[in-house]
Amino acid sequence: MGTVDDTVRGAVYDAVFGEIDDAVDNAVGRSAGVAVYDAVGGSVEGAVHREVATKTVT
Amino acid sequence: MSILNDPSITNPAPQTRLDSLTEAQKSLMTVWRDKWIAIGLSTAEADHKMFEEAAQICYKAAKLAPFKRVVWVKSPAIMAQVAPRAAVILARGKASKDQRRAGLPTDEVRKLVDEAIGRASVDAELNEVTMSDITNMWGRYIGGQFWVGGWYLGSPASVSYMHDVCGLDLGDLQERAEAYAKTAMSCSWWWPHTEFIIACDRPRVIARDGQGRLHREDGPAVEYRDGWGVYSWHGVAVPADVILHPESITVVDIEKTTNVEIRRVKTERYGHGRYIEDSGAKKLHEDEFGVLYRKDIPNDEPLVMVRVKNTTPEADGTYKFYYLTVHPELRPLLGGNRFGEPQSPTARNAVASTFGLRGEEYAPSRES
Repeated sequence: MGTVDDTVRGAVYDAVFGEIDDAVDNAVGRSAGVAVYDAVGGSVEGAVHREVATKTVT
Repeated sequence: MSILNDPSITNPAPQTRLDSLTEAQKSLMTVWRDKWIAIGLSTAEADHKMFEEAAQICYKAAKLAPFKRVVWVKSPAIMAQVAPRAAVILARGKASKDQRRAGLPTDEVRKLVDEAIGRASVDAELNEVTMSDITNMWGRYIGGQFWVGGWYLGSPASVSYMHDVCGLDLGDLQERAEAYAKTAMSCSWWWPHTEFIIACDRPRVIARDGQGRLHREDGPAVEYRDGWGVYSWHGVAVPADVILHPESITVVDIEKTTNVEIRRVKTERYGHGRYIEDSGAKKLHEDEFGVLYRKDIPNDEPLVMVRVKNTTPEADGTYKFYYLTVHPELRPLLGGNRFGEPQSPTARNAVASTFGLRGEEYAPSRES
């Protein structure tokens, strides 16, 4: 399955998620980051990814 | 420029560092969470233009040449079959004349699968194989609408909150952050390749129960626009027949089911009381309060139920009987998932436990 070009997915993901995550991690203090994660990103993750996405394709 | 373009948000002063949140910013967290959950669970048609423009920015950010085309498919089932085939054909190079073939219709594929396995395949088997394809290729997708949240702060939901609400300026990375958010706001899964992207339309149905779990009683809880989907009962993925034809469930079928969660769903769909009656459950005790039964279930806790009689007769003078599920040790149900101490297995203790009482505390003036 190497022919499906795994490197593209990795490159795109790193550029649009990984690098942004690093930048935000550096720019946001711990307490503010935890608060945003708990109330926004993590909550959205639970409702959308954990409850719907993973149960659709795995 | 904001990511969500919410007109109710006043442009905050740009900041390169965010160490604390104001009360006004905190008050918008729930609003922002709900906005992104709505995006993540959207069943609107995909926005092709928004996706294709945003995806090119993502490719540029990844230092990739622009992709040449986007192929839109209606479900991840189709994506899982189209994307690798297209990639393999491209990797092999241009076909010679000798290798050229006409198109391969789905019916023909099915006919050949049938021939290879020596009998007619059934939809359930083909679905199972397709599901396996999708699962095996999980690591090759990007989640689109389903990856709006995340374990890290780089998720579109968190980034847009910190940018739009708090004013965090990501400098050179801002354009790609907005582009990535737009891919999530415009379609479902997508599969990036050097030459093409296979992008999937959003589902037309995402049905959940009151606790946010996938649940639908008359069809797939997630249903894509070509009809492919996933059946689910309160968050447990189950075979289609469990949802569409519960009348086909039998005691033998239930007891052959090795997956504990699916077996519980099948039992619920069959009817707990009916299952107790039909499955040869052991009668533990009988008194004036009812009849206590226990059904041992391999690799799961036993099903213990008490049969009680409605003291009010029906119009024709007969009485209705009901089955109440009780804790296997008849621990009184105290509420909030708390239980009292175990009790000896009597029907009185069982009925009392449903009121949060022990048998000796239970003295009804009349049962109902």
